Order: sequence, then structure tokens, then C-alpha cells
Amino acid sequence: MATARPADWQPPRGLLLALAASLILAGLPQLLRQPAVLTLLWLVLLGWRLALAWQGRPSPSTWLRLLLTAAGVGLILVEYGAFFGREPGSALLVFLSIMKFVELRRPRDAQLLIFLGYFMLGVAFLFSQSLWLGAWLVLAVWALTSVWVTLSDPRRPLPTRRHARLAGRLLLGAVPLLLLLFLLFPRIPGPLWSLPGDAHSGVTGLSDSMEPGRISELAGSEAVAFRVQFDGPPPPPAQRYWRGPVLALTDGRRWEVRPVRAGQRLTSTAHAGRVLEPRGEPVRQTLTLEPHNQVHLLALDRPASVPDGAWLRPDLQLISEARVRLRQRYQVVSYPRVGVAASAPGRRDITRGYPADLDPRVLALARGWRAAADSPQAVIDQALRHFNQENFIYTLTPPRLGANPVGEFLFETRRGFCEHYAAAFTLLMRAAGLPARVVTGYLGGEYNAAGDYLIVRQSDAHAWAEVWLAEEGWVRVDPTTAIAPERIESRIEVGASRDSGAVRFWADGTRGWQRALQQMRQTWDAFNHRWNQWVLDYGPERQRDFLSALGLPDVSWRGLGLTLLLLLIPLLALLAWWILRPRETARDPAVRLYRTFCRRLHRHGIRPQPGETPRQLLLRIRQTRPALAPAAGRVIQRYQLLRYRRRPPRDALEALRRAVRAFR
Amino acid sequence: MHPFIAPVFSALNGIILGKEQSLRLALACLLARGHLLVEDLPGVGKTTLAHALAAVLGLDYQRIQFTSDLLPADILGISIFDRESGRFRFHPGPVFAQLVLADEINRATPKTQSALLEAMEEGQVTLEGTTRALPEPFFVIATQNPTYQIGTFPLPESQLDRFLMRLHLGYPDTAAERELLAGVSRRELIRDQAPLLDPQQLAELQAAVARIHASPALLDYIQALLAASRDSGHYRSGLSPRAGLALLQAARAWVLIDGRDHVLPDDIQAVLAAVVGHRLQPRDADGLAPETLLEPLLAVEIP
Amino acid sequence: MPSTLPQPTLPTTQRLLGRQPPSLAVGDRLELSRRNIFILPTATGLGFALLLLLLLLGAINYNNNLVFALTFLLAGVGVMAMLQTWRNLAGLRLELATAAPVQCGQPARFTLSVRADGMRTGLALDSDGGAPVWFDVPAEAPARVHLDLPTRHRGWLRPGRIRLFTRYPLGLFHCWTHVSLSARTWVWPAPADTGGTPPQAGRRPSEDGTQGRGQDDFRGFRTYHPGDSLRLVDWKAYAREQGLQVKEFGGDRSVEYWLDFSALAEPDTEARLRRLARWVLELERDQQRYGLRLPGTEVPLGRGPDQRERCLQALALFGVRD
Repeated sequence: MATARPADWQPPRGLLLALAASLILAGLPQLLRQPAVLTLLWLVLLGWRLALAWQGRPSPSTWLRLLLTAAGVGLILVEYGAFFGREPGSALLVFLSIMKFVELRRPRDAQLLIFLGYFMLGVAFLFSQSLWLGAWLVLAVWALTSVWVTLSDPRRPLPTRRHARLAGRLLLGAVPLLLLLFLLFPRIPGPLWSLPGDAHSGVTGLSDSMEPGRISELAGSEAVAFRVQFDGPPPPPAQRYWRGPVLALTDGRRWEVRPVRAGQRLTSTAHAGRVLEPRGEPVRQTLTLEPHNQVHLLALDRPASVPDGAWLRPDLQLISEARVRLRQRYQVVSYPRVGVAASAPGRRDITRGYPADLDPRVLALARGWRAAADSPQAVIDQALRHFNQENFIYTLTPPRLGANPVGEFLFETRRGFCEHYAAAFTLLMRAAGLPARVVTGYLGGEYNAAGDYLIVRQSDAHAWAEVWLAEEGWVRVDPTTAIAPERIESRIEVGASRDSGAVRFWADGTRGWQRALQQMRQTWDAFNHRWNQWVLDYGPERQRDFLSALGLPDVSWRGLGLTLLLLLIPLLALLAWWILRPRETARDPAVRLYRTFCRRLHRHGIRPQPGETPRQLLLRIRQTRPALAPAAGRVIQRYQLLRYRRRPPRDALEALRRAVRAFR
Repeated sequence: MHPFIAPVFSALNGIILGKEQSLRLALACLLARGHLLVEDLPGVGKTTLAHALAAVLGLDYQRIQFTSDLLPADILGISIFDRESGRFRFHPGPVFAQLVLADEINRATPKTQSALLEAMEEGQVTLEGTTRALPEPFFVIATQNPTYQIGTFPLPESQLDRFLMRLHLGYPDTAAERELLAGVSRRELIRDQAPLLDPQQLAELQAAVARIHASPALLDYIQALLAASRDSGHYRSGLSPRAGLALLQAARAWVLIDGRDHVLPDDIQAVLAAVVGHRLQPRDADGLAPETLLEPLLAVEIP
Repeated sequence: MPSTLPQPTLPTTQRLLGRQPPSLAVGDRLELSRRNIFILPTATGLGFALLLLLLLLGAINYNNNLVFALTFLLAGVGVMAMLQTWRNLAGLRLELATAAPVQCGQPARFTLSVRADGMRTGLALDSDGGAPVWFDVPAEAPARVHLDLPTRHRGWLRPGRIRLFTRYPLGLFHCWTHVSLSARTWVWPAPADTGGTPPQAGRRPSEDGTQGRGQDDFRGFRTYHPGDSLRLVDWKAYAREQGLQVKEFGGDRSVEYWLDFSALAEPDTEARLRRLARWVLELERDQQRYGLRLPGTEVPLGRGPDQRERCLQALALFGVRD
């Protein structure tokens, strides 16, 4: 009996341990993320409270706790420099929960701790939503709920397996409701209020400008940029150019996207036809783009269709109407080869311009090629030959360049990554009088056989050039391939490239274990991809798709609510029936069969009385319904055999089952 | 019916008319090594029952008429100084018989009653420091006058518990009574009756009772009955564990007579009234009548 | 936990819904059905709802599907907890046993046996203002729950309305039912602290001359108890090494006591009843024959548990209307 006054509540040690364990479990992501010194101090606090309880001493006094709280909050302030924002907020939540645990002097405190634990889980998902964290969610919710059940059991204050089992049952029962609400709860695009400043920090990706060294920096990251699924087979490696920002404006060092007037936006696929003339087979693809906090969308070179919520620039760059802050999924049709459509760049177009202070050596080199060549194509070939035959090195760690980077690169350092080559090549072309521009994006991608899609990582970031040829329009020229032709087929091995100076490439599956490792990585990524697709990215659009698959296209908010309600009621009724259904508690299968028999008898108007033995029942059947007696007799005789004989024959249960089945 | 018991039973039926059920219960009581309390008016055949049982089973038989001046020594026996041998010699009392009829047991003082009851309980008599075993088998049939007369000592509840069963014989039905009137004297029938079982066979039968199988399901039923007697609120106090054992033992003997090897709930119900009737009192004076006393137990669901 | 949770009982619920609580008589069976079970969220439940709301707002704002999932999972747990709490009471079968008569001042114990079609945990029983009795119902056997009611005056004691409630498994919901127990027991007056000796009605030869103890007729031996007069010890038996035996003599007369209400000196009725109660208990302990005379009723001479009960009942119910 719980008669102790609340003030005297001393939580049993087992409960205290379970609480501490589930608290640590709930706060685990934060504890692992935050500076180790904080985690260490928090654990010491936790251990101190446990030690006090073991010695039978009460929780520390109010002033001591206040002091500790102030010290802890101060420490967090020092570590993070602020209170507001995702990181310090989460750190504070975990710390204050631990202080609540240190206090813990009433059952209500323990209850509050459970709620804080659930809240910590929610906060953890603001940082990461990986598959691992999903599994951790299940485990942590189960642990917290088990402790909660223990708290509510007035007669068993210690955690038992029964509590854990009951918590598991509650969670299992909650799954149908979870699915229903998850699928049908109306999803609103966009936040309700402004998010803290650091909400989207830490995302990587191509930016809308390029400087020497930018892309090689990005290439150091193995993070996924996007994943692509194709309707048909994936294009061959030589065509896996993923088009991103097209950079035409330059001051010789920094390249930028040329501004576009609103009237020039191509907002539909039909408009796209104005600037390109597709040739060859279209490639239909579905991209799942990781958030990069920019507006550009990527697509296989060259995109010819416009997804919803996006538009196409005249230079064939896909632009999203809003910054990409969530994983985004869209479909694009691309044509690896396109014909002329738009008119040639004008005489004063910026794709012909170069900075006035361009190194004279560059100008001289380009004009020399132009003079010697009989066609623009010959100029291009000459430039590529130059890169190939002179002593150029392809490296992830190029030397820093000074005020005139292109000249320095071409004539002095000769070590560079793709952006160096693309920038130098483009300027050389312009100097030779050919309109040219830099295109940034990605090249290549790893085919994942487990999920039938391509993974493109940040390390696949690339820059190349496009040159205007009168007969063919904008033609892609990749100067990097002149120095390192392997770049097209193989992925860069980042670590080794850093160490050696020159870029090294992954040699595909040279050794058995490497292949196995790669396969495992791919399988894991395929899981992750599905997780992203079906769980994390279930947003307004997917919800709309799902509903129209159910035959409910264009459901309004109200309609969605109504559908939800209409489905919720039968679900709850089902759950209620499941929980409240009369249970067959008999452990003995013979008794269960006999009860089935009794229910069937009831249909014939004979109801077994309390205290009536099977034999007396049979007598009554003989008197009132003699027609039933033989069949009933067989059931009763076998039932008695099973229940009361010393060693019933092995097949007796089966015989009883047959007899009950035969009784109608 | 069990082959040994069938002739015994038909012989008894020939002597005591129209009391088949009571005879069967009395026999079961004897086979279960219990003692029997018969509560009835004088003249309905209590003595005949005891006498017939003794004759049919070949037991030596003693009758003790209980009176208010009966002393323990009158039952148990006494040591008397024998001049010739110069020693005390023990003269065994009437209790040293295989079948003892304790007639009108409630007429004697509690002290005398308890001398008999202790002997029944322990199967031996301790007098002046010497312990003497009672014969085997040892079966007591006690009779008690139900009318509450002044100067009687009704057996206290704790003592009633020592009897395995209590029976009411009741009046015979018309046909049986007619035959009784028309037929031969019962006394002669008993005198002419040859024993149908030898002591060896009787002992075997008693041993066989313990081997009758009571399944877990059946034990569940007995426990449910005991629990109901304690919980139902109809009785002043519930059945004791000893009562539960008695119920099981009596039901086993009942099954043995039937010639089966396992107990059914029907067997429990058959002996229920005889075994627990004298161990339960209604809680309220205006509560259950004697006839309906056991109805709550008979309505207990059979697990 | 339970002792601190606020108890959101609405004593007027039944009145609001216009239903009488079902009544349970001794020996009857009552199965709790949907119609007499009530359920409301507790303060913890409201707190939980607030937590869910916060999580939901966060999920919407950050468009975070795992937070959505967590919110909906917890909402599902809440719904399951509600149903479980409800099930904890639904289908319980109650049986009531009367309480034994009790002396005023001592608790009267009514026993309720509670059965279920499976294990039930965290149930509680209380009556108005009393501390709740917590119990579980095992799967296969009934639970016997004792409800100890305080007794403040003699006469009939009726347990009246009791409440059966549960908050298991999560304390989010409080589920309860009221049952009015139609049972009663009587409470006899607490015996007076000092008694004096009861008045002897005189000696009377009894019908068979065997009753009582006296000094006249030798009746037999019994073993020595400390306190027996040494004059009665059979020293010869002691010399034969048969232990200490005491000779017992039977009297041919017995002592009888008539306990008469109107013969007492106290002015106060209750004080007289208390004195009489004391005498009844003492005489019964000493195995005497006694009778009781109250204005309007008389319990004839007798002894034994039945006699004691008859006398105490007469004292308990003297002047009390049914």
C-alpha cells in the first residue's frame, strides 16, 4: 500500500537504476555529440545521485541543486556561446533532465522525467534522422514506457519483466494508429514560425559561385549529394555529367552565375523546347537530392523538363523556387545530346568576355592557337592537347594561387583540380574568340545494385566547360579528361589523393574483401535510401501521391481530416474489441475445446449450468435433445478421458478436436 | 462395480432395505479408513447398519451405549491388580474391536467423548503410560440424536471434523418398509450372514483407495470448492484443508466401489453432502436451511 | 505514485448521468459492465497531452517525420493505455461476503472476492474517505479483498457505496465504478472497562445432575494445571510416577447468571449495555450458563458460541431500528 507521505518518497534502488539507464538511453545522441567534458560531468552527477540513494541519503538540498544548476547552465553557455539555437537548447534539455533526476523526491518527479525523456527523443531527431536513430527510437521509447509502467504499479515498485512486456504490448498496439496518423495526418509545407539560425547549418554542396580550391575542398567529403533512379538502364559513365550552376560571369578569379530576368525563366517543359532541340533517346530519372540550402537543382546533362516548383534558366540550369532545405525528390527528363535551338551569343555577350587584366601570356597562347587553327573545333583540340602534353598534374591539393590565378596556373604551378582546368580552358577559349562558360556539377556516381540507383557523392563534384559552336550549339568539353581520362570511369579515392599529391582513383573490386565491403556498403545505402524515401521524405507531395493511389485525388485539408476520422473510428473500435474481447484463459487445450463445444450447445438451446458436471450435462442432453446425444457423448467421453484419466492416450486431444468439430 | 465389493453390497442391500445410497456411502467411508457419524432418530436402523457391516465384512463388533455416567475407562479399558500374578493386568475396553458402534455419543460428557475421539484419531490408546494399538481395520460408527435435548453434549465443531462422513438414514420408503414388516427378522439375517471378505482382502481394498488417480483438473475443482466455502459469505467459517483431504479420500473410495481408476467431478459431488455437511454452519440463523446448505458449493463452476 | 496523484473523481457523475450504482448483495454476483464504468484523464494524462501537442508542433514546424512518428506512437500508447485501464475494470465479477459481527471500535471486515478472465493489476477499492486498498487479481483464482470499515457506534453497520478504481498501466486515465453493497453486520457495544462480578441468579439443580463443577462427587482425573489446588492432587498416582494428576469432582448443582438490564445502577443506557457486554464475554470465557434480560427482549439461559452471539446481538440491536 502506498501510504508514505510524498515528501518521504525514497525511490527504490531498482527503479532509480532503471530511470537513470533509460534517461541515458534517451539522451544518448546529445551525450555523444556534445563536448566530452559536459557528458563526463553529467554522468558524475547521475552517479552521485545513485550513490546517495545507495547510502540511503536523501536528494541534495535545494540551494546545492540551484548552485549546481547555475554552474551547469554557465558551463553550457561557455561551451556554446549562446542559449538559443538547436545545439545549446538540446544540451540544456539533457542537463536539466539530469538535474531533475538529482532532485527526484516525489513520484511526480519521476513521472516528469519520463516525459522529459520522450521530449529528448524528439529533439534528437532535429539533428539526425538516420536509420540507426530510428531503431534507437524504438528501443528508447520501450525503455521509458517500461519504467513508466513500473511507476504506475502500486504494488510492484521495482521494474519487472512483466512491466517490460506490457510496455511492449502497448507499443505494438500503438503501431496501427501510428501508421494511420503518419499516412493521413495533414502535412503542411513550410515551418509555422521561423527556425533558429543554426537550423540548416552544416549542409554541404555546390555553391552558386566558384573560386580555385572550392570544388577540391568539396571533393574531400564522402557525403551523399543525391541519388538517382532511372526508368531505363543508367546511362554509360561517359554521359554521367550532372548539371549544376552554370557560371558565365568572371573577374578572372571568381566565377558566378549570370543574373536572369524573370521573363527569361522557363517555367514549364514546353518552354524548355525554346532553347534546346532534343536529339536521341530521352533519359527519365528520379533524383532524391540531399538538402544543400541553395536554390539550384541537379539533373543529368542536359535537362529538358521542368519539375513542379522549379524553373529552368536559359543556360539549362534547374532552379528551385525555394532553397532546398529538406530532402527533395523530383523527376527530370534529360537528353545527353541536344541540337541547336537558341541563337548564338551576341557579340558583346558575357560568354565572350574576359577580364581586362588577363595575363598577357594567356591571351598570347590563345590567339596563337586561333591563328593556327582552321576551325573552332581545332582550337578546342589544340587546348586539350596542350593540357595533355605539357606537364600538368591533376591533384586535390593544388598550390594557392595569387592575383592572376589563370596565368599562374597555366604557366607556373600547373597543378590543379577540375575547377582550375575548367576555368583556364574557358578563359583560353574566350581569349581565342569562342563563347565559353563553366558548368559545375558532378561527374559519375556509384551504381548501387542492391537498390538499382546511382549514388552521387560530394567527392564526385566536378567542373567542366561548354563552348559555343555555330553548328552544334553549346558543346560540353571536359578539359580534366585530357589530363586524367580515368576520372570518367572511376571515383576519386580521397584519402590516398590527399596524401600523394596526385589524384588516385578507386580501382573497382581488385580484391575479394574489397568487393564484399563495397557490396555491404551498397546494401546499407539501399536501406538508407528506402528509409529516406518512405519515412523521412513523406511530405505533402508524397501524401498527395499516396491518397491518389487510394483513389482520393486532390483531397483538401478538411477532406483529409474527415478521411482520417473515418478511418480512425473503425481502428479504435478494432483496438477496443481486441483489448476488451473476452479472453480464453484456460491453458489446457482440452478445456478450450470443451468450451467451444459448450458454445455450440448453447446454439441448440442447452446451456451448461454452473456446477454441472460433463456427465450430468450429457444426461440432460439425452433427456431433452436425444438427437444430439451420440455426438455430444463422444465429446464428453473424450473430454473426461483427457481431463481426469491418469495417462490419456496420445491421440486423445486430436480425437476430442475431431469430436468437437463434428458436433454442429 | 468392483468385483470384490459387488457381493458385499448386494448382501447389505438385502439386509437394509431401500438405503442403497447410504450404504454405499457407509462402505466408502470404511474403505477410506474414515469414521462415520449417523445422525438420526432412534429406530431407523442405525444399529442394524453397523451390525450388518460387521457381519458382511467379517469384523469383530462391539457396541458402546453412551450415557451421562460413562467414564473414559469404560471405553478404553482398565488395569486391575491381579493377586495371583502380583501384577496389574490390562482389561481392554470395548474400543478394542474392529467395528465399534458408539451409540448416542452425545449423551456422554465431553471428557468421555474425547477419549473415544482421540482413540479414533490416533488408532491407539495410551493408558497409564502404555500405548496399545487398536485393531486393524478400525472403524467407528457413532450415532447422535439430532434433537437438542437437555443434558446432552452435542459434539463440538472441532470434534465433528474427525468423522469423515455424516449420514442421515431417514425413514425407509413404503415398499421397503412393507418388506421390512413382512420379511424375516433382520437380526436373524445378520446372524446367518457369512463374511464375504477376509481381512486380507479388506486391507487390499483400503490400500487400493490411495491408488485411485485424481488428476490436476480434479484437484483444481476441490480447491475451487474449498475457496468457495471460504469466500461465499454463506458459511460461518470455510472448509479446512483437512476437509479437502477428506473430500478427496471419500471420493476415491466412492470411485473404487464403482470399479473405476480415476475420480470425476461427479464423484466429488456424490460424497460432498456426506463429507462437508457436518463441517459447515450457515452464517446467519435465518440463512440457508439444512436442505439448501450446500447449494452454493454445488453451483461452483468446474474448472 | 497513487498516493500523490490528484483524484479526479466526480462524486456527482452518477447523479449527472441519472444512474444508480449497481448494488451487490451477499452471495450475489455482479459483473461490471460498460454501463457502470467511468473513465477520465488524470492530471498526468493532461500533462501527457501537452507533451504530445509540443511534439506535434515541433514535428510540423521542422517537418520532421521521425518526430511525427514519435508523436503518433506516443498518442497510440495513450490510446492503448486508455483501453487497458478500461479493461482493467470491465468484466470483473464481484462477490460479497458479510462481515462477522464486531465489537464497537474494532474494524468490521467485509470481504469482496473479485474474479477476472485474466490477470488484472493495480486495482484499488475504497469507501468514502477511507484509504484505498490496492490489490491485483491473479489469472486463475479470485482475489479476496478486505474492506475494513471503522465502527463508531453499536447497531447495524452498512458499508454503503464503495468505489473500485484503477489507473494502471500508465496513470493517464482514472477508471472507476461505484457499487453499493447491500449487506450489513451488527456491532456490539464495546465492553465496559471495569465489570464487577455478574449477579448470580442462584444455583439450581440441573436435570441430569452432571453439570458444573463442585466438591461433591468424584468424577475422574485430569492432568495438573498450574493454579490447581494442591489438596486435589492425587499424590498416590504421583508416587507411581504417573505425573501430577488432579482429582475432579462434579457438582450436582450448576451456577446460572441472569444478566438483567433493569437491575443495573448506571443511569446511562449505553453504559449499562457496555457492562452487560463485558459480562457476556466473561461468562462465555468461563463456560458458564447465562441469560440476558433487556426491556422487551429476553435471551433464555444457555451457553456456547450461539448463546454468546444471541446475547451480543440483542445488546447491539437494543433500541435500534432496522
